[in-house]
Amino acid sequence: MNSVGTKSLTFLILTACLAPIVGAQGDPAPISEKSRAYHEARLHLTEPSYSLSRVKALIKAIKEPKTDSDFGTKALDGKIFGKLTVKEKFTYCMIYGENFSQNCDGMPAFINEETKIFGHPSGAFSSEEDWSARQIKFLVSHRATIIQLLKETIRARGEVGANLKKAVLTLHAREVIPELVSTYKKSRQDLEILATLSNLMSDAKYRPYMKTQTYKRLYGQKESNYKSFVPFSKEAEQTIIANAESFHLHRAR
Amino acid sequence: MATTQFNPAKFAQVPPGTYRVGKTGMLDNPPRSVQLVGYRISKFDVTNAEFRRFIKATGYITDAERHHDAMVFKPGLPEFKWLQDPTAFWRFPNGKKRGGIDGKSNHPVTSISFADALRYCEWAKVRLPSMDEWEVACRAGTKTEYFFGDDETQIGKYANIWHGRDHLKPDFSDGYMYTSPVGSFKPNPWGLYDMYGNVFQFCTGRLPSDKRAGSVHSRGGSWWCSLNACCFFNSVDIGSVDIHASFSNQGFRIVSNH
Repeated sequence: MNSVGTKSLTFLILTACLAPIVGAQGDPAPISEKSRAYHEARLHLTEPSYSLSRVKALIKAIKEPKTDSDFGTKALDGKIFGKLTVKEKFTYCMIYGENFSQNCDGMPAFINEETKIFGHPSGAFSSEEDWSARQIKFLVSHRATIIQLLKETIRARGEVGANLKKAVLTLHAREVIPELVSTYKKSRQDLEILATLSNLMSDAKYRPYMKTQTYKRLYGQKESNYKSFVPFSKEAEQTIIANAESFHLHRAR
Repeated sequence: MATTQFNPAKFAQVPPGTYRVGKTGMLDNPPRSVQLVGYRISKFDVTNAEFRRFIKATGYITDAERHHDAMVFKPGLPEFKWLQDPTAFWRFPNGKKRGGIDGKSNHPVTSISFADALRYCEWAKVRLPSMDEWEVACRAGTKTEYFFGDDETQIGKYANIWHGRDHLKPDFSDGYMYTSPVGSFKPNPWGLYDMYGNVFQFCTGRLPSDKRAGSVHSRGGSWWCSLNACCFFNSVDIGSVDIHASFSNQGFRIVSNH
């Protein structure tokens, strides 16, 4: 008999994951609750309103496998996906990634993240999921419509979740810059919007921005990587916003 | 029943004791002391040959074989982008058209999931290291970000990593684009090879930030990791991945209770 198949995988997983928590002791580190909350806010997803309940029900059906062999099936059936409207597909893509993302896709959480402007916004989908080729193809092939839906969703929800930021960068959607800037200015708390603006300009190799110290510190050094950041300052904020607004006008002409 | 025999020469003994782990500024891995019982951790990652013996003995079918959803890499992809390849699994880690493991018996097994690694461990009567056990073994008594100090430019002596600025072109500058044979680079002070680079190593345990039951963790960086991307080849970073995800930069080493 196959000894490997005789024990419940669920039991193996629980045993493996829970047992080794023991061991930590003494001198608890100064965990910043503010930093923890901000890190979670960086990962927050904005839910579009288009057929949200219906799309959530479809995703729930994918996520609840009927048998052990269903584990790992992550994509919506092709026929069902094909029959969704563009708006429904948009909602599906914004709240669900059909592919896995690799172990280092999500950056570690740092103390005082709320004071840092990163060069790249945090990944979406709990850092363990990513869009499939099918999803990216849909978003890119409906670029103009998706950008309109992104704008509508940002205005309606008053926020730009990690998923919307990811879509903006995937589509190189400089058209959304006014919505990004106005949403940022409402509270000036979501530094990930500044990261998104910065990343948009970096991806486009926008020369005026590339000449700034902010750009050089985020992307231009030998050791620059996805953990690189500049401390928040009014100067850095102004540099990114002013360049992003110029970038938007420059490209719109 | 496991056919593997315990070979002490393939393991490093970590004595019981209280050890320092973590790094200032990290929310999920803050500086702290951990108390560990002694354990033996394998000097090398589990290889294709060792995994093959497990498959032969049990007939086990991996997640990637059942679901055809392994994630593979080819040069030219944007940073952090991988491709789903239905033909990929441990025998063809990056898909059939990119070649199999012939001649690579001594490379680490990849394109297996955490769930698959648990099945192997159950068969071999071993277990995965916890995140703390991995870090203590990796640090080997050191207090720096790397077991060789703080000079990250030395990483190439110890690890098979990606040396390109991005992943648009192949990088063979250290001799390998994908995995290298285990033990090809210098070991850490306790004689453990490939603690950084080559493949991410699955570890057990949960993090404070875990939200999903299906989140698992691995450490050490991989052949894909570069200084300009994730830079995860160090003693402190901890990544997250789905328990059923199979990537060609994901592997494991084992702990024996002998």
